[in-house]
Amino acid sequence: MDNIKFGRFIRESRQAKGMTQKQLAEKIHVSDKAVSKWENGAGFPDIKILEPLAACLGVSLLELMQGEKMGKWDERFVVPPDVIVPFHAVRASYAEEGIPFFASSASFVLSDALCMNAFKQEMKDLGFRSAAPTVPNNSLNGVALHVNDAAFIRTAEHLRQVIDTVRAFFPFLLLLIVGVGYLVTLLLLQSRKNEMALLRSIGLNRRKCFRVFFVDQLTLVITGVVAGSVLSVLIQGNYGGNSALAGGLVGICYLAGNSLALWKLLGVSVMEALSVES
Amino acid sequence: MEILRAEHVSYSYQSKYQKVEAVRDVSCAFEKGKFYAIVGESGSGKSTFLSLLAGLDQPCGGTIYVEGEPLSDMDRDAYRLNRAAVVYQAFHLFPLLTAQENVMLPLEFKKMHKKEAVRQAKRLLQRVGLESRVCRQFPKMMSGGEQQRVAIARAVAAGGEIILADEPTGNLDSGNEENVVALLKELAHEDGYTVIVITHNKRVADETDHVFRMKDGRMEQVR
Repeated sequence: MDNIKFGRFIRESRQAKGMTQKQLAEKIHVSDKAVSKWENGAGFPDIKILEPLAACLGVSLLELMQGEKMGKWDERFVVPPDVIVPFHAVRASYAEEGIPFFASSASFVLSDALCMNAFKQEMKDLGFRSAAPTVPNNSLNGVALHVNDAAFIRTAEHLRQVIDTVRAFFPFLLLLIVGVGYLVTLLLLQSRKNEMALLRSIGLNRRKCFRVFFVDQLTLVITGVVAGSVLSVLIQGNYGGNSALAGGLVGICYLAGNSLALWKLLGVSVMEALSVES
Repeated sequence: MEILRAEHVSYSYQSKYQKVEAVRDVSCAFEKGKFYAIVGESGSGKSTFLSLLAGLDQPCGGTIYVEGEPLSDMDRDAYRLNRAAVVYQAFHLFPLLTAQENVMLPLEFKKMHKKEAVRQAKRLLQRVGLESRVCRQFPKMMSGGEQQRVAIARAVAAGGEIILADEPTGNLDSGNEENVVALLKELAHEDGYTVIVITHNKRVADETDHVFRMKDGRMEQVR
């Protein structure tokens, strides 16, 4: 709360009532120095004094705390536009003073829809109970909590859409990775075509040749996947397990493409690759 | 004794624009312990015919017999590993392996014990006339002649009977050429290998026992 604004507001309200600092101080049983201190913004009244102070100055408690006059509102319809003091702060300050916290009604806006469950739990701990929506006429006996979780539902819907989309795209993504593995291998191993042809020429059959190069590539891919997974576990913490799984899946798909390319490359005509003439 | 025989062998392939008949109805026979040359212009089908003899490609028509057995019925990879080895113009040694390791490679493919393979490789490198210091050298550190000797040692390492050489002296100067041709001749006449060399070089052809000429895929015996 802005101390200067608050001080100025007290001074203006007091002067409007035609009171001196001393008169005001006497009415609420504090020293005139304290009043002077508040008005100069050097201090803030004790929370117990707020109510009598507001009464003396002829302003509402809300106005006093906001530090400005407000328009009249019909209390039956109008809800204060903002939560003026954070809920936990109010509760804490009440607890400090040993006063049981009581509110007849309150409204909250959750800044993060994902905190909805935590919020509900907190309310339950406070003694609120869920009410069946079929209770006629919304008349509830006892303490009730009405949660308007439209925002939460919207967020959840959106989240589900995103997940569905990703899920639908996943096979294509994997297929794409197979393609990438194929292309990359084809390009990378272009320079080793001679080596392949030579191994074939010496009499290593295509399957054994494939094994030699596959192990070579496998080492590369496993190194990549392990490094990537470790990194993602380190960065993402909780979700690390999932990213490791995804990494493994990507690795397998890459290897599939890789194998296709390898097999194709090993089909090279040995004479064509090794003969100078052609 | 006849070791390799081609009967009405033909081979054609589809190039980008046309069907190429690289080998047409070729029949010939090669005997054990003889040194052969196949000569002919570029594109006359020599290399293709050699690749058929090596089992690298399958003929489209006709049959190649190895000691009476059709090559098409054999495991052609095993045939190359055990009986027929190919030597290339550009040597084609594995650049990251030493001379000795290059020669040991086919032995390791045959699952020979390492110690035995080392012994064999050293013996073969000595046989092709290389000093023992070359054993530990990498191909880049050797001269062309030395590299081709290592390639020949590798070809005979697996204990085959047939050496197929595609322009083995094409990248060598005349001194090294003579040495390599002399080595191949020795391998044929003294060690009993059947050596078939493709060459453009008349001097090389003159050293051989028999010469075949290829033209437009057809073959005729010259000598």
